[in-house]
Amino acid sequence: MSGWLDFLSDPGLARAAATCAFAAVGAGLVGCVLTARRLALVADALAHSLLPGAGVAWLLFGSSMTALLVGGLIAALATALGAGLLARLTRLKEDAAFAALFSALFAVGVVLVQRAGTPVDLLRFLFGEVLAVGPADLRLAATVATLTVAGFGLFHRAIAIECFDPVFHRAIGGRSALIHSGLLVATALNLIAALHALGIVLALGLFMLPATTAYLWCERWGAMLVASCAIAVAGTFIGFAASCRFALPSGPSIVAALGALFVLSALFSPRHGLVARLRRPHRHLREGDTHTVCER
Amino acid sequence: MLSLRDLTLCYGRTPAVHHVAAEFPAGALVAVAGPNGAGKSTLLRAIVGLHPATAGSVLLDGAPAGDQRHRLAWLPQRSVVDWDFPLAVGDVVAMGRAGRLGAWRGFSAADRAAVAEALTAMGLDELIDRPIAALSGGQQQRVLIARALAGGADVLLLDEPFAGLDLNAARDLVARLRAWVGSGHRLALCALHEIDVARADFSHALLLATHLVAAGAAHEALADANLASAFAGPIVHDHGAHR
Repeated sequence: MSGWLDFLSDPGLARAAATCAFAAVGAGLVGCVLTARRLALVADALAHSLLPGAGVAWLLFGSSMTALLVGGLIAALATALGAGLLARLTRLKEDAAFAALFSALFAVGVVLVQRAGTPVDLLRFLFGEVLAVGPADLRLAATVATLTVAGFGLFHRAIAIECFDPVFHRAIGGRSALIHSGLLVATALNLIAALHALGIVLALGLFMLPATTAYLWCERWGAMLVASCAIAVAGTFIGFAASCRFALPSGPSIVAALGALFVLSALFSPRHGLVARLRRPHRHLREGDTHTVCER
Repeated sequence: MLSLRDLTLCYGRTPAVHHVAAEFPAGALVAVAGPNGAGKSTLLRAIVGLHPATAGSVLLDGAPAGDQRHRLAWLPQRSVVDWDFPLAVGDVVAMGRAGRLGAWRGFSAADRAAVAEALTAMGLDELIDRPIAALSGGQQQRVLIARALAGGADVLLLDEPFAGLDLNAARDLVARLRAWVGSGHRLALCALHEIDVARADFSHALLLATHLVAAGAAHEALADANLASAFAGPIVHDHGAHR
């Protein structure tokens, strides 16, 4: 067993694992919102649109963490704002506007990074470099995770209502637009926090896999938030330990571990798993169950 | 209790409903009927303040309804809510208190009592821990109404609450609404297409065809002659009324 935990005694590896774990906590929470509101495409779009912003910042300021953060955030928010405006001012729906914008911006980002850097640099943006994370990455991930947890703690009621029924939220005087914007900013910040370690493509797995896994197990919103964080952190450590043990690339190992937890849940979750569904007998009318069966 | 004074509502320059005048007393269960595009949903949205009045006014107990928004609850069709969301019945009904509690204030004994009363009024006590994904259509509608009741509303405005429900579930819902309006200074208006249900179980009705065809006791307002007049006339589409 000790072979699996050897990475904890190496400061560099332990820092990388801690960075990923912090990123997992924030991504686990934000991922629940994206899953519940069916906004997976928005996360995808924001992640891809980070590239031109981070790319320009990197060209202008080198590997400055602040510059990458600000550049990525500006690009992501510009995408969200642009998609919102397109949806309101043209006949496009918001998902189509997001898809159109992020495809174009991603292509611009690839050109920018390729033009100024090397293919290796582009790969770093796309897939990250877990073992190269430094103290600044750890601080950023810890800060963003803390802010995300605090935000969800402070606004848990408004977030739940906004995710479940935004029309009702507006009707009772809730600050629907503020919460929605805050969640978009939280998505962008958490993507940037995970960018160096996991890259644009793999970071998405950290958002969507724990939340969708938790969704297969939980019937309550609070439980789903906690479970998603726990699954994200557990999958991160399992993947990281496996990558150290078997000399595998760390980022893909983490996302693959989360993917394995998701597949196991999709198969064996007692209520919503495939096996349970196949084994469930056809329902017949039972006393006291008439509403459930008859009216659906 | 509720007075509509010469109310005219427009989409742009096109009137969706014009010159509607009617009065409904406390305890009334009002069917708002009429063909598609007659302006039923628009009228409900205007009463709750979601659609501006071009002319006329809405009074609640003699004062402008716009100043008493907390007393009004508008329920859109239940299909606008994601029923796969991971919540239990009690969680959704408790959301009804959020407008009073704000973002941070915790639940008090009074809040818990209001939620319990709303659950009981809609016959949901035994379903409090049931995931909303496991509810029938009728139960879903009752959960949304209970959420509005928990918020302390005493005027309910329901947009097609019987859509998709079988006759038993619809009758059950009407009975619960009647019991609720009859137990206090309360009123409920339902936009609906189920004329038979309206005639049999509603106390009052308001029949629209962009203009007021009839208003008053349900069996009189929904008399055959009035229905023939309402459903034969030219209909203007109420653009975006369900938005």
